[in-house]
Amino acid sequence: MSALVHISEPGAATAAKSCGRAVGIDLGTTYSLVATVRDGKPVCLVDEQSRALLPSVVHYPADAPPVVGWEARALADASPYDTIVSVKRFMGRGQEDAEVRRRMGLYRFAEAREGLVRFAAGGRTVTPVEVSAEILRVLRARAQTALGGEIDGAVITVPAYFDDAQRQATRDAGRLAGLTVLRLLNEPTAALLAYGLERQKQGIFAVYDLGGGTFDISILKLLDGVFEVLATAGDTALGGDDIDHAVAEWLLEARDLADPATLRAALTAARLAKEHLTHAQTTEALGRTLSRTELERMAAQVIERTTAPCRRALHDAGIDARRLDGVVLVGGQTRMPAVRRHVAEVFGREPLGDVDPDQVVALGAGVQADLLAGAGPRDDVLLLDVIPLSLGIETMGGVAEKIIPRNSTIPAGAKVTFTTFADGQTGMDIHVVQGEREVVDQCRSLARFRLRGIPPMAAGMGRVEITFLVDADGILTVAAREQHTGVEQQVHVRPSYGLSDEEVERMLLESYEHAEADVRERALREERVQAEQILRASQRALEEDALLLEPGERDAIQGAADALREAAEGVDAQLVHQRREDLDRTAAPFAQRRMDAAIRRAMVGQHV
Amino acid sequence: MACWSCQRPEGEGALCEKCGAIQPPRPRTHFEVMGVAARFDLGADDLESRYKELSRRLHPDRFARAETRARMYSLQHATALNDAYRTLRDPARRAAYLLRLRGIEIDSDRTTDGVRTVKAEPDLLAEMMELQEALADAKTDGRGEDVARMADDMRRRREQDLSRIANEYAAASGGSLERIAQLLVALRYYDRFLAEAGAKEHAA
Repeated sequence: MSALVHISEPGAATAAKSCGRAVGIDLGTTYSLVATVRDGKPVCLVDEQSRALLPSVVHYPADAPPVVGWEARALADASPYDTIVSVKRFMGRGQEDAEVRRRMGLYRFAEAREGLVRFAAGGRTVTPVEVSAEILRVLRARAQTALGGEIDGAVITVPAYFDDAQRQATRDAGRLAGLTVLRLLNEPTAALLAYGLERQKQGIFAVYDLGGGTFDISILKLLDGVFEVLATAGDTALGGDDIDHAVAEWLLEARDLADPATLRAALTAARLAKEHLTHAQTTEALGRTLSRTELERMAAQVIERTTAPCRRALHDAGIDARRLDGVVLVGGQTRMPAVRRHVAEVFGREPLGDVDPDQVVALGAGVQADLLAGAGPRDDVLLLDVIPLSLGIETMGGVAEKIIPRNSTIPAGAKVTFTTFADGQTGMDIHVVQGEREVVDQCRSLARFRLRGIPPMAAGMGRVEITFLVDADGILTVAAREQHTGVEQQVHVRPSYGLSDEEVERMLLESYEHAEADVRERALREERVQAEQILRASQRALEEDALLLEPGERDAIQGAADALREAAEGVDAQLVHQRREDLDRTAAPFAQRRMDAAIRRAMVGQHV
Repeated sequence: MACWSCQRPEGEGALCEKCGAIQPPRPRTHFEVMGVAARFDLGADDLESRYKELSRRLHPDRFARAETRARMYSLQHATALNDAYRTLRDPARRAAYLLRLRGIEIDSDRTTDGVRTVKAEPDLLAEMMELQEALADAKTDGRGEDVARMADDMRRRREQDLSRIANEYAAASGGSLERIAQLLVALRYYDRFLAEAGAKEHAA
């Protein structure tokens, strides 16, 4: 069901023109690719030299536009500081994240702004989102050339184990590159989508995805065109890069590690040596001989770290490894024979050997883009994905209460109600976290905000209902609402990474102001109702008991009533309130006399 | 009610009977969302095929190109559907949900108006504490086999209690809600125990 097929069909041309050019993008740590569906088959688009892979490397020359891809990678050794590699590992990360600190040797950082990492490269400062956007722009241009026009929408893949902040950052990068991001798709899901459709497979599969910087394991059930993710696990700071680092350190044993140019050159040599040893038994690197056995010894620790996530995913899916119908390998690092042996050991079966681990993710993303925005309606295929990490909220004592558990199918929503804990409490701090730990400090902090305007009440009486909603991209929105009294307010929070803090702050302020406006509006309406009541009552009194009025009293009361009527037509609740009290005071002696007269009449009646 | 899209009466389904436009979701029980009777005895295969069929029609991917309103309704429908399926596919959750529909909450710290909360009997608490201690000791001493054996025993016990719950619900009178509640409270404790034991198994 490709766009191009439909363009040739009479009557379908209009629809195809408006929403036919959809692409899938694999924004990888090491390489990125773009794919689309042609004649019903997904294909990767190539550059003018017929290469599908684009190295995810951006070089920033001083006073010239950035250079992306193969050319940039060639420049990395000579000017390491001005060349950003493996930018994916920084997406959605704060400067203080352990993962970032560990890799600081190879990057020159500018002062962080709002806690976000920034690189100093080529005399400017750039964020990981901007660097990623450069890569995406090149792929977008490639797709425009290949498809002959503007791209209508893109599906971008992310590691399944990416947290909310990392997803937000990826989406922002797409937006910055001028792409309409139709969907963020989990990489293992994309891989199985391409594999399963191509081979007409059914059953339960594990997708083991070890890339340059991230590791994912997903268990999926494929039945009658529905791709249902049963469970996912992983590590967003584990990949082939770590093996390169181990090898580079070995190569540099006797040399100065602090020199970044040397280290970058060693890393390049390490990567080439590692790739060569996929087929060879020994290789040369920087004048040293490296054997496959030695490489595997250095890689063992990295590979071993994938075991626990595999076990956990199987456990969460409630699936015994023996019930699997196949294990699909994704990511360049799975070419390494030692990785394949390890996978066979963990799952008790040989992994499937007929998948191109570099291209399969992009191909799956292309298929999903076609499903979402392609010209032909296609309802035979559906993806049901999950959130990788539990979402929760901080409760008393720094404990994280899970609101949506990990591996819940998305979209997912949940509501939870908290009560106020102090007398007269008018605000409540809400801290949204993501992670599996019980203690908030060990989870990822996604957002903090304060719900204000709770009317003062006894402890336990105020009720704040918090609603979580995770959309089909796996991105979270949180709303909080005080519900006990008539006063209602809502605060929508998008997690703060990716967007600048000012933007989030502005959104928050708007909602507070909005809430305050609601409160004012309500107060005004109440004052008006009361004003109307007293005006009606005083008018009736003046008519009924005119004989009881002292000289000048009618004018005074009438004057106060007119002033109140005027205020009630305005919007100042405070003024309405004040004028109402004035009228009350002015009419008080008259009211007293009316009361006395009424009592006298009643007593006279009794005598009769 | 009139369909927001074609203005004709839309019927009761998620999609308008006349024009197929997706309708705003109504408040419904998980059973109503899945289109099954509110009972414990439900087939897993039937639930799964219903879930997938409904997903095919309501998932946001089906509305990627639709107008904002339809996309929002689809998101709400799919969220409710996922919640319903997650609750009903698991027998223990399904049983607890049936009780909640009848105003009984299991072992909850929260109090909700008009809802009775059933908590663990002291006997069960005492026994579970003993078992937890034994498990903790076995873990500290690194006796992996003992941990595995205790977990197996607990899994068996869980299965037995689950079939007791099924029997209660299957009873002609509809079974004793009180008894089901107590069995479900016990299940919560078993699951906590198994999570403890599992944490060890996976770390190994």
